Amino acid sequence: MRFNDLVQVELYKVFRKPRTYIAFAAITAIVSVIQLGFYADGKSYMQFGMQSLSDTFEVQGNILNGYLMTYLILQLLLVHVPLLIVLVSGDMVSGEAAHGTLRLLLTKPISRTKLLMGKFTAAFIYTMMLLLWMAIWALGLSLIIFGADDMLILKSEVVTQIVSTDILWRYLCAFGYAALAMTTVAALGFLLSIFADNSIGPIIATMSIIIVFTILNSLDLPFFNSMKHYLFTSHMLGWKGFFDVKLNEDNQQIVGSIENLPAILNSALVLFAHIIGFLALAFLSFRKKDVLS
Amino acid sequence: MPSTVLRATALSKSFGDFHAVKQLDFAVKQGEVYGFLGQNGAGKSTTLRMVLSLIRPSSGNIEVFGKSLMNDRNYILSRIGAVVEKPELYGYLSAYKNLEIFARLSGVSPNKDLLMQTLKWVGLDERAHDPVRVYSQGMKQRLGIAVALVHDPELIILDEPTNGLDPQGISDIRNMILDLSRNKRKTVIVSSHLLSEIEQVADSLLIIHKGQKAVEGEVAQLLRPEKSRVEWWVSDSRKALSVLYGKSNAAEFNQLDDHKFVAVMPASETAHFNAILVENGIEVRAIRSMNALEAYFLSLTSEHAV
Repeated sequence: MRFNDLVQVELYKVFRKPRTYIAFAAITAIVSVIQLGFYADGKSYMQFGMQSLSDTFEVQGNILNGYLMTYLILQLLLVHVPLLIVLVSGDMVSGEAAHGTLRLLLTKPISRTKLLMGKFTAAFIYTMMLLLWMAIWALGLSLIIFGADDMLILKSEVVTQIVSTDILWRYLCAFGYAALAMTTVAALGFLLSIFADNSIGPIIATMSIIIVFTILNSLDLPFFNSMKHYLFTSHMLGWKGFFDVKLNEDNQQIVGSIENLPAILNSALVLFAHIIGFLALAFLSFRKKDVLS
Repeated sequence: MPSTVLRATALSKSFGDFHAVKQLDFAVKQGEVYGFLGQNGAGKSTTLRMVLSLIRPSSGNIEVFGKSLMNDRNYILSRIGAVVEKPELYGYLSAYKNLEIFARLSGVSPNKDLLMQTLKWVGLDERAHDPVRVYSQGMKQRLGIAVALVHDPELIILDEPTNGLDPQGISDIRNMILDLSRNKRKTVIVSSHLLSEIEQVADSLLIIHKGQKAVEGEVAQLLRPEKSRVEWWVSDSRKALSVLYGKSNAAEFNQLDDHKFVAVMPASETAHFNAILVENGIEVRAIRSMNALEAYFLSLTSEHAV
């Protein structure tokens, strides 16, 4: 059987399950609610947020624009999207085991490696489609509703203004990076689904790992600091780095620049290494697995 | 002489300290229905799962179609169709779609005619587009067999195919097995813990007990009519045995209690023995002639259990 056919079969199964659409519906609902809220009351919210700045600076233009909205939405959503990703990836093998179809699948003349590759490819495509849906809904719709303008990002000590013509490519990069981060989550869920005979276990286990790692990230203790670099959760919000702009000697922004590209690439490399590690472990385990379900 | 389709040599499987299958040897000839008989937990499913490469043997070798399963897994599986225990399928899909998916996974380009023809053979063509979740257990079993057959395999493995079925369902599956063997010339391995099921369809059988081979042979040989086990309930078993001793060279007797004895004897002599007992004033209260294979199976398993 050709690999493409195998992926088609796996995708068909994924998209015939109602749970697959929960994620799309959840993203649609959450993004719409946020957009509606800001559309109704966003101006007063922004005035309140800009209070400290308006004493010193005169801020003109459409501050609450589509680009800023997308940034806010991504900050809120990308923390929760892993749950939606793992709903499918954590079910890819364990769901088959739970329903007893895994043993039937493995009596077919397809190598276990190829079967697993097909399943992960389907989970990956689902992840990309979910992110694309999020991009269209968050960025596309926000630009239509709120329009485009320069983007102001408020950080603890710095306000960054990015000109509107210098933003879109940053979002493309940010979504690309988010794709890598979410693929890491998908790979972890996929790995855990090899060992379970029900779908709930891998989903809960994946989310537990993410929560525990996130807590470890937030603890500022020397013992934990040394291990933070190796935790994939430390690198999942690295997409924000694409919105840090490099300054020249006159403290002027350099259009088209990224302040710390090596740090982003380093984080991307850590995520990529995790994906490879999770998948390698999944393939090795699955090849030796006795199917008793 | 038919060639050997499947040969297992010194096959063993352990799960930790538990030895599920121990040094098992057996061979299946082309075109026969091979019965795999044993009590629950005897090691039948573990053995069949090893043949299907669902479980890795701890030691031993499996050859199918003259090739090693270890080296030519995909080639071998392309020529096998299997139903392992309950055939669970995708409940949210129709029978037609399930069959299409598994046909593709089996390397077949499914067309409507092939799929409907296969569903018709198992009697599901009129319910082809219903979701499988609304199917009865018997319908699921038949669909499982359709999935096993859609790529026209040479060897079909059915693990406990009648489990959970009503009498009509059991009869349907039995007829399908016989049709596959007699009319379609397929080699079929069928496992069961029900002696009557195996006896009615198998040409050869293997009795497995506690993971070990108890006996392997042709059913016709194992069903020798001169070896029926007949249980007698009489008014006085001691007197009955004294009357019967010497009346038949072929009979072996064993007194069980004051009113009960067992004779391993030709079934054809039952009426004659009954007449002798009545003529000698012994009241015959009941006679139970046990199926020969059942008696054989029970004697083997009880022997091994000691």
